[in-house]
Amino acid sequence: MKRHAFLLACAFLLCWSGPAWAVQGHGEAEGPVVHLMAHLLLGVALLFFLYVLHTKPPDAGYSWRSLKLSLLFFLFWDMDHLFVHWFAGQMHTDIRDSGARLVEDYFVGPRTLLSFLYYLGRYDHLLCVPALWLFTTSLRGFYRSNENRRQGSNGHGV
Amino acid sequence: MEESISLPLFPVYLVDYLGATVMVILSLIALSFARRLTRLEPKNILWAYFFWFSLVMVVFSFSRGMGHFLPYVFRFAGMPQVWDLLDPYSGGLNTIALCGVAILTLHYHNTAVLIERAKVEALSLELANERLKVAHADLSSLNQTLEQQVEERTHDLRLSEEKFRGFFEGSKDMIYFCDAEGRICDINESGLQLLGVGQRQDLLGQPLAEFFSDRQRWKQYHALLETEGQVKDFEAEFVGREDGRLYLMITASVITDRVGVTQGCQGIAKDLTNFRKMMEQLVHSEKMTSVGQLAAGVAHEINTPLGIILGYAQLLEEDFAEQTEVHETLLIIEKQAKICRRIVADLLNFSRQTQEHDKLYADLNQCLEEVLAIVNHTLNMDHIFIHRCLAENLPKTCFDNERLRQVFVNLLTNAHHAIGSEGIIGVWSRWHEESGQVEIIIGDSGSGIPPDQLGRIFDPFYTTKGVGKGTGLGLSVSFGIIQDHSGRIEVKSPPQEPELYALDMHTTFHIFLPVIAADQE
Repeated sequence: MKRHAFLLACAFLLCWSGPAWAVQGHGEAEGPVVHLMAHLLLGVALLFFLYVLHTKPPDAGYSWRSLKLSLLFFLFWDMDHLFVHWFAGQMHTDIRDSGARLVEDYFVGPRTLLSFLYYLGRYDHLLCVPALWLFTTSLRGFYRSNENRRQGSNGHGV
Repeated sequence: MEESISLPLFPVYLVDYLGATVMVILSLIALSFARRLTRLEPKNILWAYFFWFSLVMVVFSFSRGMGHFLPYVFRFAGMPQVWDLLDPYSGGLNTIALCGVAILTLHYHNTAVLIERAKVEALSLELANERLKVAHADLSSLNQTLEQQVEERTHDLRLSEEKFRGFFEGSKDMIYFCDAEGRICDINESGLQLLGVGQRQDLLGQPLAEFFSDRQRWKQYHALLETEGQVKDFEAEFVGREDGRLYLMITASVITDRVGVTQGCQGIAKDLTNFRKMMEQLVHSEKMTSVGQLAAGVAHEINTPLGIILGYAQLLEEDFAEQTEVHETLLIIEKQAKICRRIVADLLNFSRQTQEHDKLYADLNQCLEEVLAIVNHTLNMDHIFIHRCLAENLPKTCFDNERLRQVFVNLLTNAHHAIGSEGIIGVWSRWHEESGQVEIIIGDSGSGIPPDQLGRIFDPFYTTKGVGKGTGLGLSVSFGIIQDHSGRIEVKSPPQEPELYALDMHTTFHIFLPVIAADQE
């Protein structure tokens, strides 16, 4: 019975023919959208990882605390970037219409909160550098504790 | 026109350039630590995640760094269009890096969960493996020692079996096992000998009840076993050996299985035959002693007035002429008084209260021959044949010739009376070197003695003869004389020796006398 229905559906579709686009076209706006989606995906992943570490904490040591802080900073940095990218997209039209512009030394734009936040958002390295610093510290802690444990088990440790 | 703001970009650029540089350095340091961690523990999924995370961060840092530096480089180089060409690729690389980090992060958790499960399973597998190893070690150890254990147990079992078998076969008492129906299923060698059975196979399967002389006694034995599960010191008479009945004292118990169902019984029977015979002899001896003492007292008291009566009767005979009535009467008195005196003498003989007799070192065979010569004529008159079988190696011994003659005469006379006419009297003499005794057997082919009379024939005044034919003192006197010689006299009717029975002997008297050397006497 199912087989007959499937064959009938196939026959109907063959009779209802039209033009096909095998390769999808990609417009200019796709780049920023994909980048925003990538940031969104990263944010979700970081949130998920933080949630896992919070609900099932593997350890309460310094390295794990550093890792969690690092992830938190990465998350803030990601949100900051989301905001900056979104605002930058808005600025393409707003700045053009309002006469705002980027010159060599100054950002000149309308006196709005959004534009001020955009300016602050440009300091994203103040978030990602601590994040990477904490991440590196965490890795160093993991490495040292691991090394100490290995030496201890081999009879060379303290 | 809307009011505008003017914010300095120099701090932004400064933070961008410095931050990008620091990012590149930190990402490289992080990659270095992550690589070391993966080298330390290559199978650790977290370290692997950190390694790839750091690697992507290096790519991302470089890409962003180039995004900050290269536009100005190309602008100063007079080729700003080059950066316009490279900018999409740099942005695309950043996007890919972000996606990569996100995917790694999401994927790490799933992998970690899977690995955690695998670890748990591996741990349980490892534990099971450990237990298996322990079990294998135990099994291996057991296997190695099993043969030794079996050998030791077998050795113990063999020892136990040998002990049991030794006790079973070596016991002088009868040990038997019966099945639930009371049939003998095993019995030891002593049991076979007691019951007079040559081969064990002939006895196995026979009901034990058949060996009880008294059926009622068997029922009592069986009832006790059924009700109390055991019998203790149960005396019973068995039919067994050819030489008569057995008196056994049985201690037996029921054999049950685990659920209490009776499987049979096991018992030990002690032979009390000799003990009972000895007891009977002892009782008889005590009785004879008592009777002898009584008879001796009576005889002693009668002896004096009897002598006076006899003396006065003989004196009076001289005062009256012969053939007169008074003289005849006095003769009768004298005759009866003499009979009385003989009886009294016999009683004193029986009780050994007479004076000491002379015992001489002589040949018993000769004594027997002399007696046989005396009675031979009388026996021939009644067609009684004498079968004599006298041992040639019979040693001499000390005995009172006259009194033993009296014993032999008594026994031969009894034999004559038992046969009546036409029969055989057998006389044997034997030397038992191992016991140091000589045995004189006098038997007859008479009618035999009923079992109920066997225990009484040596009693004084006990006789089966008619009035006036016997005083009942012959065997009593003989008994006393033999005892006076430290011997013993036994009667068997019928005789138990096939040789005697083959000669048609129905009653045999056995006299056992110790051989006493002349100097000992």
